[in-house]
Amino acid sequence: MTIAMRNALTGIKFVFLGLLAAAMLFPVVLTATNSFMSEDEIGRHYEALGGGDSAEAGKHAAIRLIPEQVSLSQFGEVLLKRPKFLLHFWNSVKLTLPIILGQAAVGTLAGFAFAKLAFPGRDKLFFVYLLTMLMPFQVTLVPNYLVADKLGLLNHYGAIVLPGIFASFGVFLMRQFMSGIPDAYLEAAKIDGAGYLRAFLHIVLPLARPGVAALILLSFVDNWNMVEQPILFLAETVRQPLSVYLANIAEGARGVAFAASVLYMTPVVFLFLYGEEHLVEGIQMSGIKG
Amino acid sequence: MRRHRQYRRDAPFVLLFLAPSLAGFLLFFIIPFGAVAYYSIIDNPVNGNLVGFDNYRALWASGSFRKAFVNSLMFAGVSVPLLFAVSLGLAMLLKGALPFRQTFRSMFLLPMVVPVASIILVWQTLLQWNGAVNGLFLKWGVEPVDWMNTGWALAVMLLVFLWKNAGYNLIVFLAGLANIPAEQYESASIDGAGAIRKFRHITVPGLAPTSFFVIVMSIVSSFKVFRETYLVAGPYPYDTIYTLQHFMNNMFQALDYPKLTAAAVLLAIVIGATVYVLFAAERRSRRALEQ
Amino acid sequence: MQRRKQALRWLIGFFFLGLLALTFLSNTIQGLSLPKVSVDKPDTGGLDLTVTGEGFLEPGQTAQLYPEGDWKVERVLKSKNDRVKRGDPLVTFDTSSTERTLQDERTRYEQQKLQLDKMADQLKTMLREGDPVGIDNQKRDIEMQQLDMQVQERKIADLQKLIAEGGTLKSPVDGVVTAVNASEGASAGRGQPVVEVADDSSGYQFSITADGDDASMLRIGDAVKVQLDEEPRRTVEGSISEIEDAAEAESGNKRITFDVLDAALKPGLKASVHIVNQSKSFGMQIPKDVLEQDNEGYFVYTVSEKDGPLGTAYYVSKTYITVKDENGDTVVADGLMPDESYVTESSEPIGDGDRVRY
Repeated sequence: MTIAMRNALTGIKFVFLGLLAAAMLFPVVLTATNSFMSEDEIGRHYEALGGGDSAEAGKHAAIRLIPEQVSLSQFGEVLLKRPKFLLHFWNSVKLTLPIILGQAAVGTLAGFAFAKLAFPGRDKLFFVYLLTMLMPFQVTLVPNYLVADKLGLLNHYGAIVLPGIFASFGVFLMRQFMSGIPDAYLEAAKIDGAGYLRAFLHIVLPLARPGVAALILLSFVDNWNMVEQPILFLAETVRQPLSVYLANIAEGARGVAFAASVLYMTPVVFLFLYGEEHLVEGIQMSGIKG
Repeated sequence: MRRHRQYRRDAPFVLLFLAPSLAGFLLFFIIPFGAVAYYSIIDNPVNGNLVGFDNYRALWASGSFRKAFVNSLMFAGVSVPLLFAVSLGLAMLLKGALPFRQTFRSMFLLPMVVPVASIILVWQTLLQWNGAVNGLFLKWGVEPVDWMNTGWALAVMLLVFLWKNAGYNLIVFLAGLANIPAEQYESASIDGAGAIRKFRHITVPGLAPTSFFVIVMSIVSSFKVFRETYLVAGPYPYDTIYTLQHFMNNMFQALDYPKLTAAAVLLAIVIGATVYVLFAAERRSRRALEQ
Repeated sequence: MQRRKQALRWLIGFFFLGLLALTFLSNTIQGLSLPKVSVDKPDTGGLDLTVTGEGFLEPGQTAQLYPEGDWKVERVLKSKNDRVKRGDPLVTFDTSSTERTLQDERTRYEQQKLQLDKMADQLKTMLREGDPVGIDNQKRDIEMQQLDMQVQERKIADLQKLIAEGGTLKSPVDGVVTAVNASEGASAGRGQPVVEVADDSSGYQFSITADGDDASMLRIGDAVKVQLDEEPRRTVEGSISEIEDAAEAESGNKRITFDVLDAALKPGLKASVHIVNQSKSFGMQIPKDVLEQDNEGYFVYTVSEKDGPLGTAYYVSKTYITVKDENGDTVVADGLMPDESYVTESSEPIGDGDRVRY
């Protein structure tokens, strides 16, 4: 293979990947740019979408990536005039934050037990954890509902947060990560006379920080996007997280929905950009030897 | 025995470290699953009469369950290989030295973190009857398509599935590829092996453990596509994208616990069996690789 | 890389802090853009149908006195607003012109008398001479002359009476002089009344204009208290004599006339009435100008509060009411709770379900 051929191949690869990446980013870019259009402009571009019969035949939504005039009116409307948006935003935070923190705490502890402690049936129990992780939420829907009912958690965030905290994904990821920490470190600690507790706090935890970061990111991405649990467990609309609320306003309030969407994805996208290498590491961790 | 001594020594710590997780896990997952299994063989939670497999028979007799079951299997059957191929292809493209390699990876990974609810809007804009895609079609003289209410709905869901999950698998594949020692490729090159031969004899076996994992995760993800479908098309979407989760959600709303629990058990068995088979296959392939 | 992370850390922090700040301020921010409304709570009770008004007394009947002849006014004895008794002289006339005519007539009578004497003498001569035809003629002439003289006598008597009676104009009734159209020395025209006298015995009236709804409880014959504006103030009895549409018919106003009977009244006296009535219907009293109307009927905007997630929020909603009775500015209605606040004013147009501040 000549150098020229290799360069040409790289060029083709580059262009192909570039186009693909552009296509994949298209929805995000469209949402972001359209959020800076005035409501009026949105109305004009998308009037054909009005709904079933109001739209005339032959009229179609127009995709515009560049606003005629950059306007922050959508953001103003969403943030200042629709307190519901903020309410649902904090609902999402209230649901997501405890789950992430709880999962990190429970996950590091149990992950350590699975990775570094010996007890009978360890691997079988871990396989059970793994299996539950793979089950769709609907499998334990009824009993989860009944448990929540028994604990008086129906219509409370507890009904979602508690199962979320104990979801086996956290344990799984932390076990995977901690397995990668050489046993020698622990042996060294034990020789120093430190017990497991101190070894865990002073050696394993600091070493597992990237793993915890990965867990937090993956868990945040998953739970920020939660849909099934709230629609089934939360009867009141005001308690629904942003994910459900947004899906509902997309139809009626298209004029502000783009800005609302941008605000909704901002935390995850920022966190993604901030901790991308942890996210990647977390994904790789979950992949290496089951 | 040494092992027993270690068990005894570790026992209090196991309790300390594992107890919180295990307690919650039992309460929210294991006991509920036992309850599901029990509910699936009684007539209803109030009477509690054992009815054996009656619920399963009733479930199988239900047309909407069969439709949902087949649809879910179909979707998994089509989407998992497709996703596998696409993400492996992407991984191969991104494997070598390439300008902006890191940036490309980030761009492919981004859809994974973008919340579904925030792109629903784009979806509607593009794919409604009066959406932008049909507008383009009309301009090009192609017959417009009612995307979400015809067979195309399945294709759309597949596309969204690929869009969302390709990045994740790409990362896993890239890690898997990185684990294959570079010397193997070098020695193969010295032996005069071509790209295809190298792929078949080095890449494929080297990726085997990763592949099993990717397949398992893809199956799980294929069940999660419900989220997207639900947000876009509501609880009763077009026939071909009416999945088991729709069915189960609707059964829940209708308080039809016998059918729901029977379906849950069935789904759990199918997934469990699949995972078990895949893991067994993985172990065997790894053993084969190590020999 | 490190720089980017630093920047992102700040961005994430700002994002959440910004949203947090907006959340805490959202009620205030919202408040500023909400329409501001003023509210009131309705009073319970019947509708106040009070009629108030004032008018000037007018006599029921006025005697108009005309001069008997074309005379000059000699003296005007009473002036306007003078109270007079029946028979009181009002105006005296200079009757000299008529007296002169009387003189002339008397003279003519003397002449006729002389003529008669002469004719009698001629008859005596004819009797003596025995001319039968001439005698008969002469007798008839004499008879004619006598008739002429009788006419003349009556004329004189009339003139004498005219002078005696017409020279002084007297009041035919007890009452008050309401107009005098004579000045001393000027001649009084025959065609117009020289003096007008309000007749006490016919009573006085006055009229007011009142809102038709307010007046709906009034009936002809109702006794009312009438306040008279004189020193000292006093109240006399009166009654409603007439209720009719006011001049501007479309206004729905009514003109109400009251009779007042009292010995010592004067025309032009200011009289006022204040008649308090309550409608029989009972309900919430609401000012008319807060009422609005749509296809389904009359409604008012009522304010309700909801404890929202971000503090208490106020909303307005349409509350339909049934109007049972109304007067000029208020209605009595059903459909409102006594402690329900209704909107009296708003800074911007409001609609059903709008959030407001107050």
